[in-house]
Amino acid sequence: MPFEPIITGNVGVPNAWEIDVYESRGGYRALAKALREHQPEELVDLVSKSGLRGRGGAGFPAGRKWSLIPKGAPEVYMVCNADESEPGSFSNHELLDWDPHSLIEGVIIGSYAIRARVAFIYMRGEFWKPTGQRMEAAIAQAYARGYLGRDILGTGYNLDLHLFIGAGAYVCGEETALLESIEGNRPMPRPRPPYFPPSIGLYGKPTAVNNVETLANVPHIVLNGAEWYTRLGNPPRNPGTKVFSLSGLIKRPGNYEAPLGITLRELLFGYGGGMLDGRTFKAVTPGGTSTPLLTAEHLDVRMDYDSLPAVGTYLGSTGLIVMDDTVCIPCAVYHMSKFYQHESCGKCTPCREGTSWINAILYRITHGQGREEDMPLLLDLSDNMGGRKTVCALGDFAGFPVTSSIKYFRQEYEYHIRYGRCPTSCQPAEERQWTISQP
Amino acid sequence: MSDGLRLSAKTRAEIERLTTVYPVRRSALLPGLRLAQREIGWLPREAMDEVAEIVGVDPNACYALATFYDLFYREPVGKYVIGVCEGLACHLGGSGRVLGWLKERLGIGPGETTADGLFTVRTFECLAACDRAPCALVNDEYVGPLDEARLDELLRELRSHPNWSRVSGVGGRGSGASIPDPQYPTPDPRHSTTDTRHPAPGEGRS
Amino acid sequence: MDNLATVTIDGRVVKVPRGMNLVEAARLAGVEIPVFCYHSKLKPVGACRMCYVAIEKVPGVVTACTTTVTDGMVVNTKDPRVVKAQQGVLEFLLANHPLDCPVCDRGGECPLQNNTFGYGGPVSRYVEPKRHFAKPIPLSRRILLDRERCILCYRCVRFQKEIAGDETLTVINRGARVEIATLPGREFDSPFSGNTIELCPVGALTSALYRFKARPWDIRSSPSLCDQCSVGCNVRVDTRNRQIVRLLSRENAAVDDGWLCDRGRFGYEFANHPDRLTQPQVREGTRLRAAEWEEALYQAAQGLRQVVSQRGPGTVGVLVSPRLANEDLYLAQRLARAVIGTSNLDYRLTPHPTVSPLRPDAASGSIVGLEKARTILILGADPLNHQPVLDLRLKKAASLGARLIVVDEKQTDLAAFARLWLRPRSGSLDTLARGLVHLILANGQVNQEFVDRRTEGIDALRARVADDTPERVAASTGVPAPLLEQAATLLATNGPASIVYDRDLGASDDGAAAVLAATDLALLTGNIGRDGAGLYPLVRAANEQGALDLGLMPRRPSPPTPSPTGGEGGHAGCPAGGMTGAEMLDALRAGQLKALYLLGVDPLRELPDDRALRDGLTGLTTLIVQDILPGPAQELATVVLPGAAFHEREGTLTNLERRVQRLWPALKPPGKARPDWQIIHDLARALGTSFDYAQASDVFAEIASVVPTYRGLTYGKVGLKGVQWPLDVASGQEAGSLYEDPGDTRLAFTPVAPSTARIV
Repeated sequence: MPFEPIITGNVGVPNAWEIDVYESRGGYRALAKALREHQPEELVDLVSKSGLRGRGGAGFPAGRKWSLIPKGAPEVYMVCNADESEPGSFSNHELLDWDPHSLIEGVIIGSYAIRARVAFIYMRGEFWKPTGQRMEAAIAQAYARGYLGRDILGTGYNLDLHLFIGAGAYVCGEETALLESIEGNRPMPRPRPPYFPPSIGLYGKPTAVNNVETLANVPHIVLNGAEWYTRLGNPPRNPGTKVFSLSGLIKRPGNYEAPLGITLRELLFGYGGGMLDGRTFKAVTPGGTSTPLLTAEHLDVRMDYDSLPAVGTYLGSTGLIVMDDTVCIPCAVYHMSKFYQHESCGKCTPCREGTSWINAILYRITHGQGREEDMPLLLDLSDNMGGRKTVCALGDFAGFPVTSSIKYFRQEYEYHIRYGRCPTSCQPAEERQWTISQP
Repeated sequence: MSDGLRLSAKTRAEIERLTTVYPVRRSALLPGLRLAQREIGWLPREAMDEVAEIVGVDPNACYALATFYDLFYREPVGKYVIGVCEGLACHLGGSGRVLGWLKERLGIGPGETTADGLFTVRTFECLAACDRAPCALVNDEYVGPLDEARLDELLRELRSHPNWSRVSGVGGRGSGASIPDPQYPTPDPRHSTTDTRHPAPGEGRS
Repeated sequence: MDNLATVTIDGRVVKVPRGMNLVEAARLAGVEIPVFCYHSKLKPVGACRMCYVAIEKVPGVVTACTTTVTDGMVVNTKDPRVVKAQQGVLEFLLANHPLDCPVCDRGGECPLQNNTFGYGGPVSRYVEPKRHFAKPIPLSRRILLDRERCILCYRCVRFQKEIAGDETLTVINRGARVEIATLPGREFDSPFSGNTIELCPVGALTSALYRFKARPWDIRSSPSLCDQCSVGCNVRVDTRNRQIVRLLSRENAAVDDGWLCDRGRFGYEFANHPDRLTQPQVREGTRLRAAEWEEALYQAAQGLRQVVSQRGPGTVGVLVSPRLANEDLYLAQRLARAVIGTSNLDYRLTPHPTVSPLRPDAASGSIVGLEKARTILILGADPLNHQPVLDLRLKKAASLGARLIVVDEKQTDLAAFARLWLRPRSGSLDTLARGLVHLILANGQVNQEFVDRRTEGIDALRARVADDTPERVAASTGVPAPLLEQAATLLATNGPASIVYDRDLGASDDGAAAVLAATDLALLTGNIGRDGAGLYPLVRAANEQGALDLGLMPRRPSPPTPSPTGGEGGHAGCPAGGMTGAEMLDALRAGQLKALYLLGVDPLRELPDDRALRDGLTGLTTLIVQDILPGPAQELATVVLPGAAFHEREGTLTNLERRVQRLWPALKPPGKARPDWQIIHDLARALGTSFDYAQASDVFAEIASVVPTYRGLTYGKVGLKGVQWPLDVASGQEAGSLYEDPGDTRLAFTPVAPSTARIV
């Protein structure tokens, strides 16, 4: 099937972040069409019909999310989640670098669809140079051209857009924590119920929170129609494309826009060029480290929102970190566990205590002090903090690498526990003192 | 001008302006702290008191945020903060070696600052630049992939250009970078890899 | 249809209000769901994850505190998944908990202990090193924090933010390194900080006063009242070894909502003071010496008798503390009026304020009624300083949607919670209040139906405020006219509205006029006589309302006296007008007073140092000082009589909302000290009367029989929660609001210029 990139079309175009370049490539035409030819509800319908699913990870239908905003609510907010922090995911980063205007255009159309008067782009604090600066400049350009502010394109629609920069916290990628962050509170996720953003969101008002990639798709859907979109990717339930981030021990790391439903094999060996040095593929995080691992037996699985759950994992934020046969899985998982220990916000007991505990056990296992009972303990702790036992999914995420790696690579844990060293010579001794710090 | 611990009139005015920009005044708190750190380099108690006063909240609210977010510093840091990414991709790409080289060259490990106040080394969890593994954030600039030669070049640049970039760690003022922005250079989005700059296979690891 | 949902919890079917969360619903069903972070007064946050339940047709387990009931919901609190998850949570919580229960103040009354016992697993699998912190660290001079024990339920910071409305305590760091903290060098200085100790489900926050003083099992507890202000918060007094070791809240939703202020919670130390008076004393030359009661009472009686017979009863004065119980006050006024024959009787040392012309002189509404208000005008009142727990209630009203209008030149605590903050220049409070009256009249926002049916005198009012136009008022008060408009409109159209003001406001000229205008505002807008619509003159002292009710002031109708001798009522031989406290002090300075009976009052302590006053006291023939601690006036006394503290006696106090509440003896008075009512009784007998009250309840029974507003009240009826007077004797119901009955008496707008309205 011939494939044209949709949302990465401007990546690599010189100065694509400048509004003149963006406009010369058709930018803001969708906005004009949306505002002049459509009522807000029609846009909600359009996006619903396109089948576009939220690209942040959960895959919730974007149009349905918008339709949950109560009609006639006097104060409504649109928030774009650009806090991309999932280990292994860097696709938003690249999109934002090259093409800030396409996101702005998507945000304006989305805001119009839910009748928001104020919108936010929440960008992670590390993205400042050049990403944040370019976005800041792009927003100023959009105001200057009348795409933002009062009476946009003479349609009477008003919208203010704020770029809100975070300051380093993975949990802010969770939508309710993100809203707390904008409100100036500690970004701890809110319990849902009752705090579903479409009903009680930013400042307690109905709020749509959408991912960068989701919103970047919207102008294309407006221009080309819902019908067009439903034919892309892996319809009917997984239409469209996804930008996959490939990294780790692979020949050609980078971002690749590909149809949803592409096989893992094609991604890794086609787009990614296969393993380094002709080594053997061992495992990959399909949707960032917060999704259960896949192994060689899963190479033919289709990468979409429904096929991956069938093999016990998730599409997540499509951050594929590739590990080959030189990687010791327990050491890699120990490394992942450090991340969750560091990023747990500390609100829910199981996650706050469990992430540290799991990290401590994995430290012992990978440092020659593992015990026979540690593996069942790891699985049980993962169970006690997973299965939606915490307010947000971080408790589940932290357990996924542990449980999936024990499922597929139990013998490597056993080797560590029995012999006190890696089954592969994954780390030279002199390096270890730097890569592994005391928990 | 700032006296080192207090905010300049300009920054105070900018935070003041932010309190009227957002629908709710308190939303200016996090951006206000970022501006304070951008000016002072870290967040002394005096600065937190000032931001709290301008936004109209208890100074405890500043403390609560300053200790939550990774990019805020509660103690002075070096002119250049070299934040080595330790995310899984960078780890596989050899971030441990980068830290080892830094220890060799600068004599400091994560969380430490050189005696001359020039460098602080820290680590980051994933910086979302995994295709440039192992990467680092030097003040606000992304650098990577790093190998030994490139790291030495970076250190040389930092030492020889007094205004390479103002320390802040959270969003810069004007860039004075002499190392070009490490943008994604490849024209084809489907092959936007950085493999030419990637360390040779396995090089970063063993 | 109805507002109830039917839920099944562990097989028990209950109907509960829709919107109720599952923890509360289970309580109604008699099923316990263990919690740490959940508290019925705080918003559920779902942090501790202890309250898991399983719900039919819902995958996995959910937290009960964040789940509201739906009709037909079937809940299981004993599902194996729930049991495992709760064991998991306890194991996580205990992983880093120091388990130092034997030396922890909370040991024996600790929710973590209790839940571990009830829901924990048999053993911990945690073998890693525990987290260690320096312990404990002082957050303030009152409160210590042990971070190792903290389980991060966030109740303390949530209380401060949601209830007290401040961030004097906060949370720092993240993940496993999270701590409760304040900015370094900053004290946890909330006036309500002590509540966090009670809220803490472990021994993380402990009281510096209580620390290591007692264990729960060697404490004796008794119900009591806080006597530090007029709110009358209900407390539990815990004693050990004849000392108070702590005061805890004894929740009375109508009064305190379960909270105490720090002044109340930690203010009991006077009662334990080593210098407490334990023995009567009589003067012998230049010195006081210990005496037995008989001798002291005889000397006191002789001294009074001598002055009355030689100089006349008009040279005798009686000053009482408005913190004394109703029983003390009632007998004190009887002693003064009927036995000594003087009306030189007062509970104040300063001039009396002008009060609202409405009678009775009391708050028309209830404390809890404020929660129903949509608008609350707070006029020159600062509850945080004078009625702290009322401050919390006003904040609660605001969080329930009431618009607060603060009128105060100073930035009071409530100003930050107010919709409107009007800052009239000093001395212009009356102009502002009349300006609001003018606006409501001019804008046609009068509640005409109410005015026609219930009031009189509106025409005179119209004329009096004719000149108080917004322009003039804005010019003289400095409050912009649009703000005045907004305030008037809120008051008139966003009802029910309540008006709260400091009763002492009436002591200044502009305040006195403002008080009258406040009454006019309430009547004009019909905001009186129902929940949420009330006029609240705030008294300050614990039983100031009782002193008003029982006529503890001259020139005020006093309760008729049923003669214990069986003689006639009334006050035979008592001059109609006596001196107020301020006037008595003047007379004292002028050498015109010859005998003074001070009950719990010490003018030398309470007023600025004043040579003439000291000389006056020195020159007295008879100075009887009755108190519980030594004070400067005692050095000049002829007789000193030791009284009992609030927790050593029976009695009643009447709070700012007319609620009569009981005191109970938790301890015996120290040494030979006696309850004040009993001392007065004994003194009256020494003076030859046949006063005969065996116990405090006898005195109260007499109050109920002679004071109309207290009719029908008994100790039994007052009980643990108190009763707001007046009681409807027929129905036995208490009245939440005064003036609700559309009876025949009309409520009068301020008839005349304020100066003549001064009533003492």
